[in-house]
Amino acid sequence: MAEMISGPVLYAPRLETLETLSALKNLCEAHGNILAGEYGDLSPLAFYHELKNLGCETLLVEILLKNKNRGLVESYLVTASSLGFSGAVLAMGSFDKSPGMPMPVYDLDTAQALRLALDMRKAGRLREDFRIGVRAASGSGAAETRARYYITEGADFIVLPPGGPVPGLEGHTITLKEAGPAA
Amino acid sequence: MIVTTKKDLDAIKGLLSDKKKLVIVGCAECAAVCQTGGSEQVREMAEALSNHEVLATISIQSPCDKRISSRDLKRIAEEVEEADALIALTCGSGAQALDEVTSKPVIAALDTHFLGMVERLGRFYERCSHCGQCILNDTAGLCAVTACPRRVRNGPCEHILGTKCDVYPQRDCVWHSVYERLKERGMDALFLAYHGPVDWSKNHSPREEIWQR
Ligand code: SF4
Ligand code: SF4
Repeated sequence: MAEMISGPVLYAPRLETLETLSALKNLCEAHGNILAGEYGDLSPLAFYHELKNLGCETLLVEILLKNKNRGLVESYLVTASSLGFSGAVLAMGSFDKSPGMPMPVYDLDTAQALRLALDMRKAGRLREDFRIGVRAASGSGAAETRARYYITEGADFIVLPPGGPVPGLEGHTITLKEAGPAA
Repeated sequence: MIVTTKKDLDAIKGLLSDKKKLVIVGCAECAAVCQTGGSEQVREMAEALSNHEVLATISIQSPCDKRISSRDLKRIAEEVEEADALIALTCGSGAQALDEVTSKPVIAALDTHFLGMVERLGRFYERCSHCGQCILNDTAGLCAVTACPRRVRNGPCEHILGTKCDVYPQRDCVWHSVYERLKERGMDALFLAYHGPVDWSKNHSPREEIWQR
């Protein structure tokens, strides 16, 4: 299992322009750890070097499962690991119901993507120290049982939205400093 | 049951400009329950197309079953032969079966939506989206795949808000309901049964089920 990340993580849900990206520099220096989100127009994978130059200690990338089939999820994971990201956070992704927009499609759910990523790491397709985390939830028996399951299955950490922790998982939970929406 | 709705009548009339002689076929099963293709709707369609020559009308028990369609259409074989087109008040499967058994142009007069559970007339609910790899036995009989907008097979996802689904905040997350129902039934352990991704190699259209004798 890869090492747990210490300290809070700054979540930047959207990388919209190169200017917004460089504006993260101060925040990055202040917080040390960053989770680059996939909601903006710029793909964090394509801007790894710019993100790396921000000087963060831990650079995580969000991999949304919406609108990706398992082949594309694999490719994102291998790319992120090869580029040098510290790890990935797997998340279902928001469900956009705006008029005229296509409904999102999902091939894998988080549990399936987690199993895929762990198997890939075991098989040497991801770096041994590439951390694998998942978005989870708290506040109901079902959500907390699922969160515990992720850790039992082998996730390095869970990421929770602001609010209640999952009892017993405090040591496995990443706190997002500037929590953008899980959505 | 297959849930259907009526297509716009003017759109259907627009397809009939060069078709004078018609046979109207209804479905006495699903479309009858949906009140889109029962005998009443067949009669209404015949009235609406009164500027055409309606040679015959017929309600078939299951027009999607080619054996039944062929048998029943024999009763109006001459009219079918003479017709320029058939109007199908049936689901898409029924319309295509009529085309295959008659080799006549078939105008589909209904839109086909989903496999529905009937609560009462006018209340139809999608409970199964025929994924072909059923997990109902692990989910206390609730189809989490169909009731979950993200089609999560191992839920809930991180978007659950308390016990509600973020996509339809007035509805419970189905995985919360699965969890509660399994607990009530003393089957809690099943909640964490792992359901692998759908094997799409077994599940892409057009699907077939052929018995090996
Ligand atoms: S899991 Fe749901 S969608 Fe799949 S076959 Fe069973 S009831 Fe139908
Ligand atoms: S909250 Fe529940 S029902 Fe809604 S998308 Fe997530 S798992 Fe599915």
